[in-house]
Amino acid sequence: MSILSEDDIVLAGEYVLGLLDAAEQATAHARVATDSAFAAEVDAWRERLASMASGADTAAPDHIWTKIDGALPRITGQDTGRGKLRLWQGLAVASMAVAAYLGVLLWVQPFVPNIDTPSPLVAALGSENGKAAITARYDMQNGELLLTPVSLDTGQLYPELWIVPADGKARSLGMMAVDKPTLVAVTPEMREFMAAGGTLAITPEPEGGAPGGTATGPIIASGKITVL
Amino acid sequence: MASDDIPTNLNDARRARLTEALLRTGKGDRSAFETLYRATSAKLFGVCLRIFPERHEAEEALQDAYLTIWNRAASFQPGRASPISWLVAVTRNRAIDRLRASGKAKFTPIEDAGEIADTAPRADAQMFAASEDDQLHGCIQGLDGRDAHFIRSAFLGGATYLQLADTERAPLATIKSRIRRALIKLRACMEGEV
Repeated sequence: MSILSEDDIVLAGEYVLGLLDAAEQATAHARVATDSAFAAEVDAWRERLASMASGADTAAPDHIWTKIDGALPRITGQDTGRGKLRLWQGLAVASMAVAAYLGVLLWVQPFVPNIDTPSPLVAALGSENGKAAITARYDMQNGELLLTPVSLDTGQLYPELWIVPADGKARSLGMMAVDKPTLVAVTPEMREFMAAGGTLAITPEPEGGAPGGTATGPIIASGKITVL
Repeated sequence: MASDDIPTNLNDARRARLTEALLRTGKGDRSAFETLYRATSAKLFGVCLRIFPERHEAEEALQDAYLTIWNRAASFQPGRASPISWLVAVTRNRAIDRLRASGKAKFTPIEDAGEIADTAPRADAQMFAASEDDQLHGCIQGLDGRDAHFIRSAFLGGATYLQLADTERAPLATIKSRIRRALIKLRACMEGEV
């Protein structure tokens, strides 16, 4: 841990108070993630100032909880409080069996082998209970990912696709349709993660995708990326 | 003294329960989230009411805050922050985002905020006295009245340096340097250095 200068200590306070302009605020925000001494001072300012934000405790009306509860993603049968990571890992294994079944479907999609182009990457996304099945096919040349839902149901929510590379951190690739093939243009910064061994996964999310870029729903389908 | 130990132990137990509920919420446990809500919603509603005096706006801010808490609970690190100050910070930040986005944030110039005299606290300073803990309140009281007003405008009104300079019709550099000095003084006071 580095020793903070007085300027840094003040900066941490300015950051917590939100006094800075947008660029300075973003710079300070990034520093919290990389500088533990600075992050500790930010926490200390939060502790110091917390009571300023506290008014008299006031019971919230009952309908507030009803609304909050109703806005959470609907989860069926998986809300057991298991760690998200274990869920990711468990489903990756479970999807192997589904992959064996879906392998057939992957082959019948139109594909003209070309000796000059690298083999496309494919994945079969499945669920533990066998209810969801989606095929994915990625063209490294143009960054296009074709998703074909064979069976997919997200209820009132919308399916969001995630790539989970070796670091285990899920990154959104965007939303997909439930009932027809979707062609996703993978952005240049996401293409490095599209490699064999990574996992594709789908979670049900509110319209427009998970707020804040972090999945809120359970994984309803996932599968490993392999070279065809 | 035994009588001093009891509240400390109660606070420790409460903190441990909240930490547990928050950690389990971070793993997607809805019943833990409901426990967390039951234990903290009155406090966090108080925070929302500080920022949005209109009750229905405060209610919407509270709802928004808890959905943000649900989404971000996995990022809570118990070794770093106390659960309640983390929850207050998330709630305050979301409420300030809403306030700024609504365009309703307005800042009172110090001249309109009433006469500031060290010996006669303003009505709103007395209101703050009821809610701020003794230490923060005592240290805020030790600041120049104008500086205390700036710090509150930032924390509870979402005012930036630029907006404060604008409202006060003062040069940005002047506003910055006096608030920075005030922050150093406030920190020293709260850390028991003065």
